[in-house]
Amino acid sequence: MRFLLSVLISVFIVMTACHSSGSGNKKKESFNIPDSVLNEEKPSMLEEEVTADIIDNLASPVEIAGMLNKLNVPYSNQYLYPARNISGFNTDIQKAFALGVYGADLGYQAMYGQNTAILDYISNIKKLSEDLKVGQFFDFSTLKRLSSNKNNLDSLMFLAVRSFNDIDKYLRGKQRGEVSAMIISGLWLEGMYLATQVQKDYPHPELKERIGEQKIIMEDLFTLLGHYKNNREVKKLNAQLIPLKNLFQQVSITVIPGEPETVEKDGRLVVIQHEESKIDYSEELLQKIILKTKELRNKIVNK
Amino acid sequence: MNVFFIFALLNASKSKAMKFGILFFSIVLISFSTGKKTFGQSRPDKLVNLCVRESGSDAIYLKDYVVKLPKATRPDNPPVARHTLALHKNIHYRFTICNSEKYPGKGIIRIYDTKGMIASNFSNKSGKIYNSVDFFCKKSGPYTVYITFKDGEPGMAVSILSYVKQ
Repeated sequence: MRFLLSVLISVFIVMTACHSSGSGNKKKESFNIPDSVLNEEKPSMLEEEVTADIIDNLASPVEIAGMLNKLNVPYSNQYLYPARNISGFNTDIQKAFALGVYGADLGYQAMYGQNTAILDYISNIKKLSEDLKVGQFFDFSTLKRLSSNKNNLDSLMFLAVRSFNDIDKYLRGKQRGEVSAMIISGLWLEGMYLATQVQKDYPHPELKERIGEQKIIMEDLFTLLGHYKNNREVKKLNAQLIPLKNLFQQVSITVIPGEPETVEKDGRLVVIQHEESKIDYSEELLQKIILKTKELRNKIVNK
Repeated sequence: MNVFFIFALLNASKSKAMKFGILFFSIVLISFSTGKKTFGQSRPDKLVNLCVRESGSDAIYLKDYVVKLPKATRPDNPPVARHTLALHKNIHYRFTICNSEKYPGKGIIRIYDTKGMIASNFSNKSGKIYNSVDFFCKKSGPYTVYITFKDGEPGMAVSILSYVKQ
């Protein structure tokens, strides 16, 4: 009897501990963004959280690789950082940077549907992420399975990108933001390297523009790295990137005004932005940027 | 309070079988109360996966935003989720939003640049909320995405930012 009573009481406690969502009043209300929220954020004054959001997206290898593919630039494994070079990364910071580099190369291969060497990169990512104690965010058996079929590489990319996003959130939550910052830096620099090497071999005005836009991104990257300047290796990377950042200061970015146009197409809203950013810089500067990026990337990953 | 109650019960119970039963059910209770968070996490994952599929076979996932907001306490001040991100020129993006069926709120995405709103999945003209909005970006830079729920209703939704293949 006492036993049954304790069970009933326990069930009662469980049920009362559960939330119940109220239905609320259904009232037509205005849902404009309040001015207090709109005015609160100024994109030029970046807090760490805001910076992290920006950096999170800008370092995505998908967009760079997608652009290269769109421009019909042929795939080349010559651009990739060799998979065999994993043993030389000793500290967490070095491993995090390398993780970013391999992540970018994985995205490049997946975007081009190249699955022949992708398994090596997945293995490297597995090793490095396990060393960094973030291996739990990668479902390696699924990634391996997906890599065996060219038709599955979009799904592979989804899993990989999502994993990188989750790792970033996790590291920042665990006060290991400097590790996340280095992964992002590795992703970014490798993406820059891919873009600049392709531009050298297959010049295209759109790619030249994309390279020049990195002036905006570098500002954010430096803000992010600046938060962790007490870490010796982060400080060292910061210092190494300064010459490249100085080159970008000479890139001119202007905006041509225009109003967005919204249409409905195939049941979907489509917005075409007519305000356009215009990137101007000389060929000579572009060549300097290409050379400096290659020098930095090789120096940092080869230590 | 539950822990003290369990200890009190254990203390009061006389037989070993009863103590075992209380301990067993306590463990089950604790598993439920900590597992709630796990269940809470797995539901957004399911919604994320669903929303990635909803984004379309021509879209490649870039980022997801899980949003859960309470009911607005004032009509002029609805809860808002805000995210800042970088978008790049000559990229076709898609913002897809998928609402959890367990909440009444219908998610509305608004994308702002430094000057004002440039895109939304809500059409002022028709009053319709679309599942997604495509954005052909022509100006690289920082953008802010605001997510609210229509009429300030409580809601949970996932928004997926995708790159649309060309």
